[in-house]
Amino acid sequence: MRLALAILGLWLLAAALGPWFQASSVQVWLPGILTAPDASAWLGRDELGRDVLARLLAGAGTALWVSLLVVGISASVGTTLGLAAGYWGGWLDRVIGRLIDVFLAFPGILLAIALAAALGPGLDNLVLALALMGWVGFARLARAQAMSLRERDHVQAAIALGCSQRRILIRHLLPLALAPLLVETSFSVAGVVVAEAGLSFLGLGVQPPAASWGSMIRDGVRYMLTAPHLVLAPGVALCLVVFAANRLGDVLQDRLSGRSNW
Amino acid sequence: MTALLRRVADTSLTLLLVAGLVFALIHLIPGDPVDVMLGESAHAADRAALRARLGLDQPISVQLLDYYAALAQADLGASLHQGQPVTRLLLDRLPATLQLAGAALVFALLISLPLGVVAARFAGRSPDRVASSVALIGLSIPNFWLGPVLILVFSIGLGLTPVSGDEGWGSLILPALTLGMSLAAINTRMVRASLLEVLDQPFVRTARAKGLSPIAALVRHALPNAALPVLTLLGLQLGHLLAGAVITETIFAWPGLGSLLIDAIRQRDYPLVQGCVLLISASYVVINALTDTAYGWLDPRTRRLS
Repeated sequence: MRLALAILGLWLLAAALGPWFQASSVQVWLPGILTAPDASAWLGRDELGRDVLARLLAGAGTALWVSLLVVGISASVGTTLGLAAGYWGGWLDRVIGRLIDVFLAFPGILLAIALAAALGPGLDNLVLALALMGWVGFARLARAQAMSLRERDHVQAAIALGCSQRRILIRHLLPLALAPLLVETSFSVAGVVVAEAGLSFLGLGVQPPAASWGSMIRDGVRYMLTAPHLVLAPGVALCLVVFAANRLGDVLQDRLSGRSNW
Repeated sequence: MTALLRRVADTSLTLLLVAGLVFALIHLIPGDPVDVMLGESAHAADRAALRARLGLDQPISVQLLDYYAALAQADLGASLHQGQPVTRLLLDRLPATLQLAGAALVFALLISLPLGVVAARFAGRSPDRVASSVALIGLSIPNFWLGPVLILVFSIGLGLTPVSGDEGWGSLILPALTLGMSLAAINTRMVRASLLEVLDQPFVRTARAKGLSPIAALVRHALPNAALPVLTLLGLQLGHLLAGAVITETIFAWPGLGSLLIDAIRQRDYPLVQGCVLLISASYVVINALTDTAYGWLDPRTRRLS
């Protein structure tokens, strides 16, 4: 848990430091092409002589921005739709439930790839594609929670007392549904970071000269033989962040499942 | 029987809606899709011809009906670049992807079953902690990084396997490892969790009490009962393998559906993109439905409930 939080803290720090190194992350310096790590560039230089460490920090910022936006949008849209469907039931639930089924029918990252391909590459479209894929998980979870919670005594009491629907949803359902949604948030950060890097690896995400860990890996693969640090540095950073987010989700799940019946 | 019919109807409806979403893809293209496919300097006559060929000059309701009618005859249109029917191109590439997914599945089972059993048997002790950490690490390595690293170590460093392409069984090893890694990790966790649940049950205690060794009780009584959730997960993950194959095939230049999709995206060959996405997601839907049905047959308890 501590290790996971430390890695996530480092990620935030790297993303915060990124803007200071923005200039050197796109600074082409041809004499230094593919040089190994040294005192002037701690993680070496890439195929255009750009500082890999500066690009790594810029990539941390990209990953953080994309995951904040995507998880923020997916969590709020998904939770709202899911709670509404589960609480009110009826035709609303049938429509939203079917919508969830259809989006779930696309395996893994395929829907995001298809959307990014149609919308065209770029950061905005990447966020849109990933959010269109991400809301489903939150919606499914919130719907299941709302369906079981609406039968609880305190919710029935609130209905009997004549509380407004909004008040019941926000004050009486949402707080109890929050724990599993928090776990989902942690896992979905891990998922979005991998998906952003994956789409950028395929050339469908962040466009040059902006840095993403995924596009750094893609560009580095061509020089793997002479300059393995180009692939290793962003790969290790990516694995650490994904590991930390997954680990945090695991720990939260274990802790929260013990007290889910308050 | 009625449950089976309902499942078939439900699956068909989902398939129809999935196909509708894939149809909508071409209309998500910002601006004029014909401009995007041909470039803005194309002749007006060429653009009109392409527009007519794709049916884009028709009202959208007519386009949708035509699309479903063609789909019913397995007609997915023709590729813009290669001119061949999309169905034919898909069928050419399908075997390679199935071979890769199958190999990845076998690899994942070979890793995850022993690892999961060991983790459950020694739950909370050091073998469990090692196995669970290995699983979590396996889950956290993205395949587009694992692939290049494996090439670096095994093909370039040790010279054991071909770097890329499809040159017989040897070239299947690294792609299968790359694709199967996350499934191996997920399945290890699943085997552990479902075994742990079963090991607490009275019938396992009874088996131990009548004198069976811990191993025999585990293999003969606990494992068969823990197999169901694992089977469901495998069914679900098989579809994810098809999607994961998109990236893995790109890394290793494996001539399957995934690299076909990425090539089609690069060439803006939208009919082919739609065909690939439709085939992969339709297989996923069908595999999921089959898994659910199999679950009902294998577990009498769920049959009585429904």
